[in-house]
Amino acid sequence: MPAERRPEPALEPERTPRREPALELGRRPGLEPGRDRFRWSTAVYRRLLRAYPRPFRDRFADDMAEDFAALCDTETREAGPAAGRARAWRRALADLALSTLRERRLSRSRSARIANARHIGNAGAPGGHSFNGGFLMIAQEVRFAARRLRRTPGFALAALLTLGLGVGGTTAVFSVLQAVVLRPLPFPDPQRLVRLWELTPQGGNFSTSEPNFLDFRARLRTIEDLTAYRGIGMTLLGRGDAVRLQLTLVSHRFFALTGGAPALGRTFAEAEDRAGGDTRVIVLAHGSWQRRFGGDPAIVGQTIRLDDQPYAVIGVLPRTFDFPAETDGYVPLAASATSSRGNHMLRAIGRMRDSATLDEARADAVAVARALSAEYPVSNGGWGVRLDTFDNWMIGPQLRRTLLVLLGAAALLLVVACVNVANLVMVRATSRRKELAMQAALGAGRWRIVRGLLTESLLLASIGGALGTFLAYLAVPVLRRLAPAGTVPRLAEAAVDGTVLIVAIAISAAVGLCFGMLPALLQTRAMPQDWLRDSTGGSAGTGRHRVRELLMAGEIALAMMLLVGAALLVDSFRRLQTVDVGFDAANVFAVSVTVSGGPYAGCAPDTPGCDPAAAGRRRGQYFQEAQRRIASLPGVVAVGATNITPLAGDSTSQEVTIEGYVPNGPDDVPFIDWRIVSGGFFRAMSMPMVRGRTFTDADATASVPVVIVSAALATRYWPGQDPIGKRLSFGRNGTQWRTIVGVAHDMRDVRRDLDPQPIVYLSGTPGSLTLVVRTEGTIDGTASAIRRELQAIDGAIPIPLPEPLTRNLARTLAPARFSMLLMGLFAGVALVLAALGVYGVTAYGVALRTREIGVRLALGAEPGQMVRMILSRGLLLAVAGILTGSVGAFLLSGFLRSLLFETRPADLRSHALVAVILAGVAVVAIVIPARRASRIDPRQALIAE
Amino acid sequence: MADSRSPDTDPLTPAVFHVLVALAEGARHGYAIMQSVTETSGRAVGPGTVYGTLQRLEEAGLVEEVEARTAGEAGSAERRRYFAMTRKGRAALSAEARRVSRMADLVRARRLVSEGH
Repeated sequence: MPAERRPEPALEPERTPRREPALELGRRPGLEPGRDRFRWSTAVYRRLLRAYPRPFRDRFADDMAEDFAALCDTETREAGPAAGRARAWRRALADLALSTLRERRLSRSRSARIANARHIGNAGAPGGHSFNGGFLMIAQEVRFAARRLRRTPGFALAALLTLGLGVGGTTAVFSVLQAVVLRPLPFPDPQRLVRLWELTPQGGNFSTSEPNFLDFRARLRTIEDLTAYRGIGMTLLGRGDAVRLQLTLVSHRFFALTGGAPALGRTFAEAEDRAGGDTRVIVLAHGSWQRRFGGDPAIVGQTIRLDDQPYAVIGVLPRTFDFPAETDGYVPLAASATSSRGNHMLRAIGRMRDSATLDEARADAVAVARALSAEYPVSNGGWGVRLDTFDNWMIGPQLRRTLLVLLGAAALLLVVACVNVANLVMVRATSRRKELAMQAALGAGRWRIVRGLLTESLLLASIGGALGTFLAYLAVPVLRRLAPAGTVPRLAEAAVDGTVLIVAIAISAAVGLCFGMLPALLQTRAMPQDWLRDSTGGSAGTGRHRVRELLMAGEIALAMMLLVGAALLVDSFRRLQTVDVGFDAANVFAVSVTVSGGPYAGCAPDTPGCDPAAAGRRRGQYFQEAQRRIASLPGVVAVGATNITPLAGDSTSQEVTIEGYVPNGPDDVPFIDWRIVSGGFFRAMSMPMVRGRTFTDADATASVPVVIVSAALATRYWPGQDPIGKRLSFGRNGTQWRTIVGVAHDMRDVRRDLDPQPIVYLSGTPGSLTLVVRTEGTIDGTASAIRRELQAIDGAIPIPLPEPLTRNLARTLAPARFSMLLMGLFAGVALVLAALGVYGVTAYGVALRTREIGVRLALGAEPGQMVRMILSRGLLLAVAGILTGSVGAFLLSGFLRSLLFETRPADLRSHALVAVILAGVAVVAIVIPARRASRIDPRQALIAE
Repeated sequence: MADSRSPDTDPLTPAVFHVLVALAEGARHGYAIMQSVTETSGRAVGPGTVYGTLQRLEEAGLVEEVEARTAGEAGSAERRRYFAMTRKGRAALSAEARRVSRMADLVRARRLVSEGH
């Protein structure tokens, strides 16, 4: 600024001293009183002006800063301080973006004639290092780097693919982790939300009953808004085909607790949630509102028919609200204090008061449970309570661990990719020795050359990162599909979003620095004269080659670790897959049918005009007719029914009194799974009877109720005896004895990875049964034929399309398959990268020693000897890598333990198998370049270079 | 490039035209030119565009930097570069004005726009 004023005093030497101070005074407080307010903005703007070419900036920067301040002044006077500044900045930045590009382009074409001298000439110039030239310099640097990379497309492609795979894998897994684990749950203040379970006397988590829920709600002081809910299916009639809606019964504080504010209408009032009152109102979820009611806002206030009852639609929830997942609508629970305390159907959730800690809330709940135990010994004796956070309930430590293990695996793969690219970069940098030496000889400093190499690496990393992000974008939907709905919560929301993008960029930048810095520094450590000498075929290159060999061994070690992890998971998956579930799911269709409402409705015994026994008979008749009709279809071998679809994840269990068995205390009371099945069930499932007989039609009307027990139950309670004719009863002190008529083969119909549980089978007529149909081979159209037969019995009952039971079988394997496939994929990619790395390093080593090998061959060495020499060196490194990797895998395998089923983390067989595979791949990758070495023509080798 | 332009034949770019219009009434500094261009062109321009254009006009001999004047805003006059149109610049502007006017006549004669908008 002083430089600008100088001409004036020179022209008018006399007046200047008088005017200067006056102007200074006038300018600051007077004429430009406000400009000082833009001090900071102007300072920032001045910085940005550095983007202009030097001559332009030198000439105009002061004026431009002054103009900018004036602009700020004008705009703030018009639009106020904040908006005015924003307007001034918007204008200035748009201008800056356009005009810097233009000026730089023009400035380049002005100096086009001296372009050739610029690259190296600038290098030594003092301005080259200053920040002022930064922007221009970087742009130029990137352009040169891009040009150099284009000259070696093979290298660039290999590096980009490697990086893309590494960054892509890590990013994809991170996006899943982010969606499932890291993102807060979609509830207000989620860390204060808790789930409450009752604990069975045996210590298992269990749902709560209506009276218990009401007591907990009234007595818990540390928890507010205790709410309960349970799922219920209802049939929607009068709108096209009858459809089954999956509804949730909730108590009225449910929406306040979970943050479900209605998008239309309202949610329940307290009066609508009272037992005995009119509770026939429904709040629709967004999805079913769209699907079933065409998104019609006028639906609010209308009445719809559910299970033959009119329900008033009072509200619609927003699309963002989906809890419990895939609910079609919500109806009031209206929990009753007079219903059975032993009927545990409800899930209870609540919010801890701000003043309470989780421990205090737990102690509070335990105290209430103890009191209830004492007050209601018949139903609650021995029962406890457990509280946990939503986080632990919904995501769970198992899933968290699985995802972290996978992220760790992805990170290992990323490191392998880095090492590989570092090797490539080093090989390439070495082949550019002469070019670099020339630059150094012309005066480019070490930093200048390092910067050039680093720019290339960062450019590669950016493009590779972009490629990786794109791969992740493609991979995330595949990951979502790998895990079927319901097995991984919130997986559907996994996407490459802003957070994931930032992480991907950070990963790419870090990767670029990692694989760029080391080679760049190593490469430029020696002096220029060394490089020039080196290029004539000396041995200085072998020192750096040792670093590459170490990297290669490290790469093998990392690949070994990933491969061992994958091998363990494959072994575990194989074991899980071959677990005998006890039944044959092949060629079995399953279809779940619910008959409810209308003539089938159960009712309180004192309701006028209702006969619960008659309704039960009608349900029984329906299912008998259904089985009769299906059995007559061509190709159908057997038909049965069960209340629990095998391997769908559901179960029913209850306390059982076993005649002659005296429990040792309350936690030894038999708590046993029960199933309602038809006589055909065992034949349809190919479950042979171990002893006795299956159910017959006569059992339904017989005066003595009979049951069938599983083999596990028989051996547990009647070891060494014949259980046929023994008796048991449901309930703790049951009196209605049921006689055992048969023992069935054990089955695992809930979880594959647990030992077969004791099961009691009984016959009955519930409203909801799953029909299981065994066919002979696969006949097209069987599923729809079954459906047609069922629809023919009663058109008002919705019938879903029967599904092969094998689908459930696959679903139980899904989590194990998910981790196995991902780990296998990472390990596979790591193996390929390691093979490429070994090949590259060996091939380069051979090239480096061409002369030496030529001399040896000329002196009479056998070509086979050369191959052995190179192979032994390479194998030594490979074995070192394998051993290191094996130790590393041993150390890390603890993390895998929870993912494994009947497989020890330190499984020697897996380690040995992987070691052999890896060594085999290494031998191939070494022998190919080694054989080439043996074919070197000694004369050529000696006269080369 | 600007220095290969022959003022009588080549049309001027909008930025150049509006800068010359701003200087038609006399020498001005950058900020005044910027505001004038913003006003006459209806597009908000920034300092970089203005000075870039001025520099190219200067290279083409249409504009020159003149000595700072003390008239008007005394304070800033001291510190600002003033630019004025050269004879060549004035010729270029009037040539452009004639060209634009001819085009406007043409447009009207062929009734491509309705009279009086």
